[in-house]
Amino acid sequence: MSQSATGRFADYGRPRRVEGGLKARSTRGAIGRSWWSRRFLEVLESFALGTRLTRGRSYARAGQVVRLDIAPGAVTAVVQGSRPRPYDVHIGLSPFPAELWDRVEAELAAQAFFSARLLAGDLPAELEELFAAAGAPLFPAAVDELTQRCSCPDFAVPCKHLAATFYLLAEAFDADPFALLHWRGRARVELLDRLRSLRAAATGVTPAFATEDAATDADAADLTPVGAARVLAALPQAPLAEAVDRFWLPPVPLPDRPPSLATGPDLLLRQLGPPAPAIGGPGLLERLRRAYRAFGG
Amino acid sequence: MLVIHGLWLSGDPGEPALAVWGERSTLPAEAPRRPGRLPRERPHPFAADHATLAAALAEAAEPTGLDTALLTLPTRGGVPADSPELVRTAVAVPPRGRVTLGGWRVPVLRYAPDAALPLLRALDDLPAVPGATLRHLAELADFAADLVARGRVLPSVADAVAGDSASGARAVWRPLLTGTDAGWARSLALALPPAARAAAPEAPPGVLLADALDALTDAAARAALADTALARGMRPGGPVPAWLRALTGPHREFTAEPAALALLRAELDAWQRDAAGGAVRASFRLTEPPADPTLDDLALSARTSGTKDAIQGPEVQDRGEVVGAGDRWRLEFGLQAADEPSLHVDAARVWRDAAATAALAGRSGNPQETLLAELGRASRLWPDLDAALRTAAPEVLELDVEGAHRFLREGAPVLHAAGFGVLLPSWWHRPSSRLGARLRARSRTAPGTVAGTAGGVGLDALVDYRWEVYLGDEPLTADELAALAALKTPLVRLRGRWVELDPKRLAAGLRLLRSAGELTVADLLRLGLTAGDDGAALPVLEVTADGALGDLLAGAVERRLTPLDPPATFRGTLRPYQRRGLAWLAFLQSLGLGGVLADDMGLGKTVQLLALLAGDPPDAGPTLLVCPMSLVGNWQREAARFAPRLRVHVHHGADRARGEAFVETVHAADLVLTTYSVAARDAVALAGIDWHRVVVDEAQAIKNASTRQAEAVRALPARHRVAVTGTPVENRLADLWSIMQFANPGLLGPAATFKKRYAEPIERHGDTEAAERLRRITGPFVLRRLKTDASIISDLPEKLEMEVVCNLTAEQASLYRAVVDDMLDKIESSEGIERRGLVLATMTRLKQVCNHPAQLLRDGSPLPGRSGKLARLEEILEEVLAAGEKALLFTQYAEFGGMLRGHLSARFGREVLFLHGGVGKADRDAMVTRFQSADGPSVFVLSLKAGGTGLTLTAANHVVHVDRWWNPAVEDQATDRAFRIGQRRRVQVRKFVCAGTVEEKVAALIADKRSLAARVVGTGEQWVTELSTAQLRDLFALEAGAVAE
Repeated sequence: MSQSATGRFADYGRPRRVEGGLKARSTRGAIGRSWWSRRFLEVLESFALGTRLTRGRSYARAGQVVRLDIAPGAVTAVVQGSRPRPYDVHIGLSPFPAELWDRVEAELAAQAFFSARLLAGDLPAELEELFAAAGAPLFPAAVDELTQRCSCPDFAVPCKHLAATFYLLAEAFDADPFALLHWRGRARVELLDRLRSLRAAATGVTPAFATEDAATDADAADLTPVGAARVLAALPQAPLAEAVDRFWLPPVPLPDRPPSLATGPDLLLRQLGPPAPAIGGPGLLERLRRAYRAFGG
Repeated sequence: MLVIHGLWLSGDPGEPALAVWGERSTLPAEAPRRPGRLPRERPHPFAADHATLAAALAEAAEPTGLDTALLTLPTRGGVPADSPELVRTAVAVPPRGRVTLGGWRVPVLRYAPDAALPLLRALDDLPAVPGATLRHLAELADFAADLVARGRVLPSVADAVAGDSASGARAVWRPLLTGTDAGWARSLALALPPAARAAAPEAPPGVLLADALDALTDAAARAALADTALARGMRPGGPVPAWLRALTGPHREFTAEPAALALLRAELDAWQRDAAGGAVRASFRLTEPPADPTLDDLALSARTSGTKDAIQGPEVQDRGEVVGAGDRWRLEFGLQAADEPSLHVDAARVWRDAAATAALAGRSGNPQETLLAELGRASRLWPDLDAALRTAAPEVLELDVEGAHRFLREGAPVLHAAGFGVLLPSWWHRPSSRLGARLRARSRTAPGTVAGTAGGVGLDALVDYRWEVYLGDEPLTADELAALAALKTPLVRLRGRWVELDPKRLAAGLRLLRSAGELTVADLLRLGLTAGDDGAALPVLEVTADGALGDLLAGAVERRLTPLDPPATFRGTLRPYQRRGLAWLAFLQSLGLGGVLADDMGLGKTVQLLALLAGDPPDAGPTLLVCPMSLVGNWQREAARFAPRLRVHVHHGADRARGEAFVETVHAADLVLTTYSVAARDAVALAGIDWHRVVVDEAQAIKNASTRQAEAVRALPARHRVAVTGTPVENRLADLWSIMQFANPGLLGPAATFKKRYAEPIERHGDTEAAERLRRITGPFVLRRLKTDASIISDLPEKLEMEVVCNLTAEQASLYRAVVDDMLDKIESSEGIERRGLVLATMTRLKQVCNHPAQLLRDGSPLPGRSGKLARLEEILEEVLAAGEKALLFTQYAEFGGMLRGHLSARFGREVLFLHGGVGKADRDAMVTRFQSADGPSVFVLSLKAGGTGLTLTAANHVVHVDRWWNPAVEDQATDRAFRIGQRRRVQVRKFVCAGTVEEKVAALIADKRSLAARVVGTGEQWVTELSTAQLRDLFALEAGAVAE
């Protein structure tokens, strides 16, 4: 292995396989789909080069990261290397002080735009500007803003375990831009709660809502039936035994078919926009567009 | 007879598939009995075997495999129940005991989705009767194909059917059900016949239907992509090329590294997450600026006083400020439940009023965050929304007039298609809110030439024309158009109404105003149809003309014309609306134009036509009337009765005249009757005659434009064409095209264009503008009056009784003769009680032949195409059902009632009730209740004995006596089931008799009796036994003209 020449401690042989480790969703090329996760990785890639990044990506894809926790100011991870005992990884980034968050939250609450886009899974570029204007850049500008620690014997920083953690962190930001804000000091639930009270103060109403259960959205997405079952799964059961006398015919008459909306056959593609670059991005969209044109006949 | 049923086998385990099984009427409904408890599973006694099924379905699709299935079927007395479509000629003693569910094993043919789709879409052409399950699945297949045609599908990844699910997967197209599509899918699931679940009794209907719809949609997408390659030219490697390849063609499986596959799934999910939307969605309601009457008046006065000169310059500028830019439009936000759009909460209340959102609780998390997330998603589709999100609690987006127009044109369709609720002002969908054109034409009165005064305008005549451009109801001059264009505002309030000013349409209007010239009447009529199809052209609001053509185009011409009295040679009186109908027919004829007489059944289309024919000058030449075989006898008799001077010739049968003889015969006749099948066969000979007029009766027969008979009939040269139909043609536009292509060739343009521009937009997308254009162009040529029209109903009697004369088929006639010969021999050589018995048996057998050969033969042979009565009955029921009405059918033979019930339920795909002596009181009461309910079955077969008295069946306004009891009192009593207190509509009573048979002769005797009263004839059939053999011979003998085949 040519890579072994670059570091004395780097070559401990193959890492141990991890059952059920966190795997990067991306399987080839760059990791990071959104502009914000790539912006975050740029910081890493600006100071770390070469094999550790490559091997960190492979670690991330192979599922060597056993755990990843995001907390205000600290990301901690457990990464399985080649030794039996996994390494503890810590990436520190100082959280914004409370009074800065207060100012930012007041601005966020004043414009529904930010919460709307964040809740829709977007981190609007304006948000970065807003933090910058408040004197608190959202992304670390230089490596020295980060404290990086790994319990592995490799003296290089970042080591491949740190690099793997960075990649998985970037994907966590892709999936939920609130994760980045969490690292900087505000968890999603907490942030939404505070925004809600600020909004209530602005509209003059005391909110009486339950706190949003962040878990419901994510869980629901996994359990949601796909295809036609999405709208048909909840229909009532109709045991055959109750239908013996009307067994052969529709239990209720079929109404006239409602008219449907006349739209171009590729409207759906226009609505969805391009998929992630990891699966082909705009190129894939163009290929699928051929299919939708053929549907329209 | 073979009845086929469909089962959907969901893909768990294995591949999803359609399974088809069948019942055969010829196999006995008996299962071997064994003592003791019933076994859990037995072979189905009358299920069709694999070979029978395969032979019947071979045309449509190749089965994927042979198999058996264990079905859970209603079982009574140890025998599985017949499906309602199954017709047994022998009425079996109904098995006793309770109906329970039992397990029966049947042979099935399996069809994988790619084979199931073509099979389900070709059901009508199979030599087997499809049951309700297959017809329902066919509806589902149509839906799947329509979803694909509209692009409401998403490419995705599903688990492999078998094997390693980490590296193996299937590429699938999944239906995306939103809005009305979701509603229709639910309707299909709720109406799924339980029999479709017989192989999986535990599966809920929703799950089964979802599985079938998924599989059929995937198959339909692949069928549409037969010639498309999605991965062409891609570098191999990674899961994407393999997935794309597996999205077309028959092979759905593909493999990829587990991690890569997981990524593909995750990214596709992330990409498509917003396509369907959640349980609660944002809604957007656009409202106009509040009306300001003073400003409106100002705009109006500028408009109305506007001469060419007055409306230019600064005044226009003022008007622009008044009606345009200053106004604020509001796009109001809210939340609504996706599955219950009426559950709606304004954004203002979402922000301020916790209690108001309680209704949405349980459907989403926190309503405020749901609204925010929904607005975030919507703003990605329609970035204009961002402007409203700059406040803490957005409730509304304020728009200027350009913004409002952009939302109406672009934003609303995108948001609606993406599943958001969108509510637009009602005027937006109204054609009157747009710029439109009116075409004015003037017939040519060329001085010096004397146009054929008798001849009319004709489709080829030339007229002068010019265009006028209208905004709403107001005409605009070229200067005014230019002034409006100068306003540079897309929406203007005019006389209190908002109208759209599309710059492209304004320019098109200017062009039109400059054009003028001459064109043919046909082009004039067509212009009303073709213009306005693309966005840049103006919709044509109206086409008007002077003179007779103008009367026609003005619409409702029938009501303006002076009612025409029938000619003196017509024997009979016409009701007022019939005299108006006659005037309309004569008027169209004078213009050289064809018409479609589409009055409701029972309004007397035949007499109106006969009155027209009776008025033809003696040298006019012959009229050809093409009708179904079942109607030939009726026309013959009605012509003889109402227009006895008409010389009628029936061109039908194997010995019909040919060559020279044919030409001579035709020219010696005024009315030539023939059938559709002969018209197709003798197309060349018939086209060689110079017909004065061609009439097609039951014109639905030519609704398929490409059939041989439709082509043959259209090719007949004639000066005047009339199509007669009682089925509402305006509902099926392909049918309308074909029938209009006969009556006024070319009027509706080529079929393909018509389909694309009218049939599809109107039928599939509910395009009211296109429907209005079509109505305007066809309106003058279609006369359809309903029984319920106020102007008609007063002319109609409460109870309209008609004797319907049917023909025998050749098969019926030869059977009839055989029975007469055989029985008369026996009667001659017998006496006393034996003779009486033989006479009554002869009556019975002859009446059975008149009903249907299969009733006499009791051989379980197929029913279609073998009985004149049955054919006529189907035609009548088709019109009854199309009108959404209900009918009672009386027969004195329970076994024929059973055959009718089976045949008609299969033929019309609806439940048909059947009441006979073996039905218990509880079941009878249940039937009556269901028939009387608004959405209950529409056809009720009753045996005269069981159903003739006591019941109230006023939901029916049609009564058909399929065969006769020969006792008017009994028949009237039966008729009164429908015609009694509680009946609010006119009741039509039809009594069937076969021409030239004992039925017609006895009917004639009874008609005498009813006027003379004190005779014994009308009290049953006993009197027949007293007749001498010679009298019997006369009574039974089959008269010439009974057969029309």
